[in-house]
Amino acid sequence: MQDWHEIVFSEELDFESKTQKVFDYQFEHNPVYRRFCEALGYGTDRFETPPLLPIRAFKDARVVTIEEDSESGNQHSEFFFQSSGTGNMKRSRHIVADISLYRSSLLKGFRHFYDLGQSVIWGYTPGYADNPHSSLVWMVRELIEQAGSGLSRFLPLGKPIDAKALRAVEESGKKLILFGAAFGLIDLAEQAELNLPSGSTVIETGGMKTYRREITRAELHRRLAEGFGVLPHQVHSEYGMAELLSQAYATGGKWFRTVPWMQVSIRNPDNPEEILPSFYEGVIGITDLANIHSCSFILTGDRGVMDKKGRFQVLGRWNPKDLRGCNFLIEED
Amino acid sequence: MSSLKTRITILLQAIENWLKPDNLYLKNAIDKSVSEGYFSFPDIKHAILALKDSLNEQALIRWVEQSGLMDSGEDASGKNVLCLHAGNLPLVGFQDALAVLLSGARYTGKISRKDPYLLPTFLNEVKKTSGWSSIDVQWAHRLDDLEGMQNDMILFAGSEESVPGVREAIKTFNLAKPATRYLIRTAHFSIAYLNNRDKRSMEDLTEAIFRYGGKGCRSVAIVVAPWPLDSVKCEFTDYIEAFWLENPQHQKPPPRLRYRFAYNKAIERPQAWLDHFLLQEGGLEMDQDFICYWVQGDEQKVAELAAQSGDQLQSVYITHPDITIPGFEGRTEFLSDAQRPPIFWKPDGVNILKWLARGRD
Repeated sequence: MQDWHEIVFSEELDFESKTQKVFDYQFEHNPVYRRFCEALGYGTDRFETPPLLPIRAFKDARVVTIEEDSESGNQHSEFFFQSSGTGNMKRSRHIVADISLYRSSLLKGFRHFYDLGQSVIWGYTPGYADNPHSSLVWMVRELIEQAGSGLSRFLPLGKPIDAKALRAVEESGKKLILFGAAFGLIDLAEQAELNLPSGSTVIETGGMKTYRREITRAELHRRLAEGFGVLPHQVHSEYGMAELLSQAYATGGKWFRTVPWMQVSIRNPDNPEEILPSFYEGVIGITDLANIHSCSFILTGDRGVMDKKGRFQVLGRWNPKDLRGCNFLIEED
Repeated sequence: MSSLKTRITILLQAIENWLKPDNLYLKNAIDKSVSEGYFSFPDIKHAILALKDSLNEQALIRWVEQSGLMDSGEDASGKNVLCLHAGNLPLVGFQDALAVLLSGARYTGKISRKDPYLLPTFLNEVKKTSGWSSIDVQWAHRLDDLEGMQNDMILFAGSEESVPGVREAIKTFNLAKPATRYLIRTAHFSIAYLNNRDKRSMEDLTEAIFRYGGKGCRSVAIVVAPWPLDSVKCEFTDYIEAFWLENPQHQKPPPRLRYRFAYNKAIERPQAWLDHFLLQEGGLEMDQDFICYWVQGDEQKVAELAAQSGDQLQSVYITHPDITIPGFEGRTEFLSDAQRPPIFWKPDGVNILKWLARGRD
């Protein structure tokens, strides 16, 4: 059995070689992905760029890559992340067969962008006990635990930030990182006028659509900077989801960068096998090698654009326009 | 503008002239539409024959009666109406143009670049008559050519996303007045309830789905039937092949349709891959063309799906008058009429003639 930790996070192997190994493994041991590839005419003999499985598969099927004949085949955990949703909404379920690999991806990824040891993490999200299957809550909890210092914690929901706690962070000499969903952070900022200590970072994790009204990311960042008394470049964004075990970060500005074991491509919505050139708008495709035990090749439902450096922007949800009927945009007619 | 009766008489004469086999203008328009790749010949032929069957004196009188024009004497004389025609099907704008002319209003059309030749041949026939002069009937292929022509009513097809753009263009080219009334079509698809598998019903269903490549709002995008797709797949495929032999699908789907096929395979969703079209059971995402969704269910299921579809739904079709769809009593249509509707059919449930002449439906 392969040591996937070693392969996924290897600094010696290049991304293409890792991708080849992951593709071969998932093609062989993930029946959902294998059927998908075969229907598109892919196989181990036709590799090229692995086809991207629509993210909806996590709602419609059990997307797992497990060596059934291996000794540990029946020892995989049934721990899973679930996308947020209400009522009868169909939600994604991402079975995480190796939680230690997720932990490594999360922590190595975070340390790629931030100095976790010198940080105090505050999470403004619902608690873990109430949301054991939220990947965001799990991530923030893990960062809180790993940051140590005793100052990191979940903030109580619906209450303003405690001034004493702020002073304690300032006195510790560590940098505060405040994590939360976009709409939650705006609510928090509106609860009391306050200034976070200088050098603090606010990381929003998206979720603008569920706010009282839809706002742009630029407007969101402006309001967060104003609300928390920080400079605009201190408001960062995280791009992650229940279906991915790695995250991308925009550390000041609108361009996201990925961790080394994750790559993004922009796909032609009419032909998801086609990778679009820089600055063309399309659907965001992701190769997340940390998804080794589910599927690493994902076509998201997000609209995005990429620059020549491999950084990308998230422009919202992909909204198909070519519905049948007389629907037309006048400028396109 | 002439009286309603005179308008009917003159329009019938114009229609007769337009549809004469020796009308070289129409013939040329058909040839150009085919040779330049806008539509297939069988689809144009079907559209014209469907109009021919539905255009006669009785039908027009029935339409104006239904609209209350005969009794009330109300019409839209003196009003300017702008039609921003769609071009997804051959002559899809014909009904709107005819309604404007019947209503007595002045017609201005923005002809779709996707169907540039066919409708103008009819409008030219109208202009040749004594009933309408050049300023009563005019059209252009570009909206900016109509700049400054302010209208009392504007008709267009749109969606939640496209409406702001269209309104912006109307503002830019100064085409509206403060009190201009708008009629915006939002319907995209129709639902059929198939409760029996006799030859006639299967043929009607095939045409309702596959005519015009499924691009019309009257096209069936959801079939509700008591049986799963797998049990009718082979039989249905025979009907589809027979239809395509005579009516080859003109527009080919983008590669993402094959992607959907692969996805369905991946999640083991029942489906039928038809090369240029896909039938799939369930998974009603309604996010791309060339897919028809099959749902196993009864009349109640039809009602449920229709309610969920909201203003995207055009029509609910049935195969027999005895069938009742709860909540849709008196509002269902026959499956056989899906692609050959009467001239007075109601896009989005709106009687366009009544809307033009009386300000409401």
